[in-house]
Amino acid sequence: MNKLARRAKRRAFELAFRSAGFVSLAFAGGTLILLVVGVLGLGLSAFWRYEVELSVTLDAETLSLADDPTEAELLAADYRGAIREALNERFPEVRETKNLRALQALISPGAEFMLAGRAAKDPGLIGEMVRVRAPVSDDAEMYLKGRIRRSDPPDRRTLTDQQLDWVDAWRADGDVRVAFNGDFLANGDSSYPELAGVAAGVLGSLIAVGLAILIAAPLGVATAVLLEEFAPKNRLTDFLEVNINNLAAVPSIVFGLLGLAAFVVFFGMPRSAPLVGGIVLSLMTLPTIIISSRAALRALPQSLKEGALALGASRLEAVVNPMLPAAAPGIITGVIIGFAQALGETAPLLLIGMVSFVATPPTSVLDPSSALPVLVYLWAESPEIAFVEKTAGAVIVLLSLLLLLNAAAAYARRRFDPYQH
Amino acid sequence: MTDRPLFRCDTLSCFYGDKEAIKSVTMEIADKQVTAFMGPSGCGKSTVLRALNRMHETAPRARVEGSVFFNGADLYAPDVDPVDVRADIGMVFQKPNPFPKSIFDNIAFGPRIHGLASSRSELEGRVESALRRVGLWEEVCDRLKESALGLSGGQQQRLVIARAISTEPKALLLDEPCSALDPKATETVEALIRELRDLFGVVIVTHSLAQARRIADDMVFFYFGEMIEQGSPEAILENPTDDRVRGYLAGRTG
Repeated sequence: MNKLARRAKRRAFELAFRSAGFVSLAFAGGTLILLVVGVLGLGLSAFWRYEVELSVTLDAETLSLADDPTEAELLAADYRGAIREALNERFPEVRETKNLRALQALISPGAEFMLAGRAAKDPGLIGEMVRVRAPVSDDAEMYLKGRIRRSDPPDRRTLTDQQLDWVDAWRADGDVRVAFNGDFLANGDSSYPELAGVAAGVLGSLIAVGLAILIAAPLGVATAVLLEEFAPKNRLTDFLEVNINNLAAVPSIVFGLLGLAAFVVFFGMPRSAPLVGGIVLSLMTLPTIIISSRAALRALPQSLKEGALALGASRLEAVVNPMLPAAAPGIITGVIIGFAQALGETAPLLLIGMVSFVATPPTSVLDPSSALPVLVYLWAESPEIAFVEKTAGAVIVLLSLLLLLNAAAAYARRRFDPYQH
Repeated sequence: MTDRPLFRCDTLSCFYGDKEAIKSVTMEIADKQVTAFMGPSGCGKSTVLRALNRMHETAPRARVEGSVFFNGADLYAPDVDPVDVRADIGMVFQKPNPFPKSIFDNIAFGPRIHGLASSRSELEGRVESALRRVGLWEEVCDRLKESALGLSGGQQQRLVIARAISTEPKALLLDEPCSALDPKATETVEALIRELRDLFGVVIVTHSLAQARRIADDMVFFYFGEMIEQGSPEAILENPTDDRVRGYLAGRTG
């Protein structure tokens, strides 16, 4: 009887434990789904944009161009005026300058850049009428995407009733097109939300993080080998070990402060440069790589090392040849975790100045640059409503990069595991 | 013994930290013979074996006192590099420990680090002859590029022996090489050990009286860190002089 009661109690406990596990799993899954759905719902629309078809006459006089213009003159001509003419033709009833301005505010300055580019490439277009698909301004785009509604109180929205009418007129005439927003991936930052892109951030992040791994991976693995295989066990190495473990828990902003004080101020390295960002991130990643590499080396069977030593391999030869390749899956995992950590890191980059407005993607490690998570932070701070979807869009790009990295890690783990044959 | 001994241990003591695992052992081991180390578990057989090729000192806080002469030269002289010693004296462990590499790369490991082959074809020749020596060539010649971990336990142990002899050692130490193998594989490995005796001296640690009787020419009996008897297997097994050996053989200790 007593035995039966005990068994029932044990069963009940097991059931309770399993249910608790299931609940926490469901909670975690639910949160993940919420996150993914939320970010995708907000940010996917950043990957397409609305354009209006306009017929613009590139009249030399309107453009205030002289005869035989140079390329520089062609690029700097008054395309804004040409677009205003085209808009006026499209809506002849608009007369007042104030209203014309309001009409032109619906078209993004990106349209002017498009026209300038085309004219500079083909000067024969001057004097001709060209069709352009002009990207609309951020506010018009928000209206077309349903984020600004006519039902919103007029004093709460950035577009007047009249502006909404013009957009509706375009839509009714079938002049509005939806297109993939390549600029979002190809452009640098811009104060016009419809022209802002993640390229400078992605490139800056990849350069800085790539540099960080280039520094931290060899150093970290070498340190792990030294501590695990060569260093004697004494007070000094115990002290080192404790400190390395603590280093992994140091808040990242402290590393940023260190980077600012040591590299920017003391060594005079340029601010905002991916070089400094890379060095700071490498310091942050180092403990992660050391700890996981040591664990990977320690997990190897002792017989592996003994086998090599018994064949007359020196200690270093034993480490380099059978041991490191056998530990590769664990080491690669550590490196990728470090990589992912560094990719998502914002705080230390803020301190070393990788937070500035960067319109052109960097071409070297010394160019001022932004980073993807910093871009998210900057855009989230911006007042324009159109930056909401841009922020979420940048988060999607960041998450995609991380997902890609994790997939690469999973592949590499399998590919380089000598125990899977 | 008529010839110069292969190994001569002179008051050899082995320590793990402060613990003296082997107490002042003095003995000789003959060349081109199979010498079996026997004794109860934990008596120090493996420790002595590992002292013979300076593997003992790779354990943490391990050290050795006294000397071991190998073909007349002191292995523990200050100018001797343990790496050279281990290249000359091969060792095989209880559990087969092939590297997680291809069969070819396992055998080629020793020749590669010691620079024994100057060309690819020479290396291939060495790999083939080592595999033929242990009778594994026919079984694996068409899958040299495959992982050695795919072989059976007995094949792995023969592979590891082939790996040890690929550097042409002058002695081979075997630490209970058959304890993880089934009877069939044990038989194959034992036959191999008997053949290898023609090439160099073999020292084997074993727990099996039957195995010692089958393959050993000479036998050393250890008991709690001391060497207490040495002689032919027949002499020791049929007519032990020491009470402790008699007790062990009768199953009263160990």
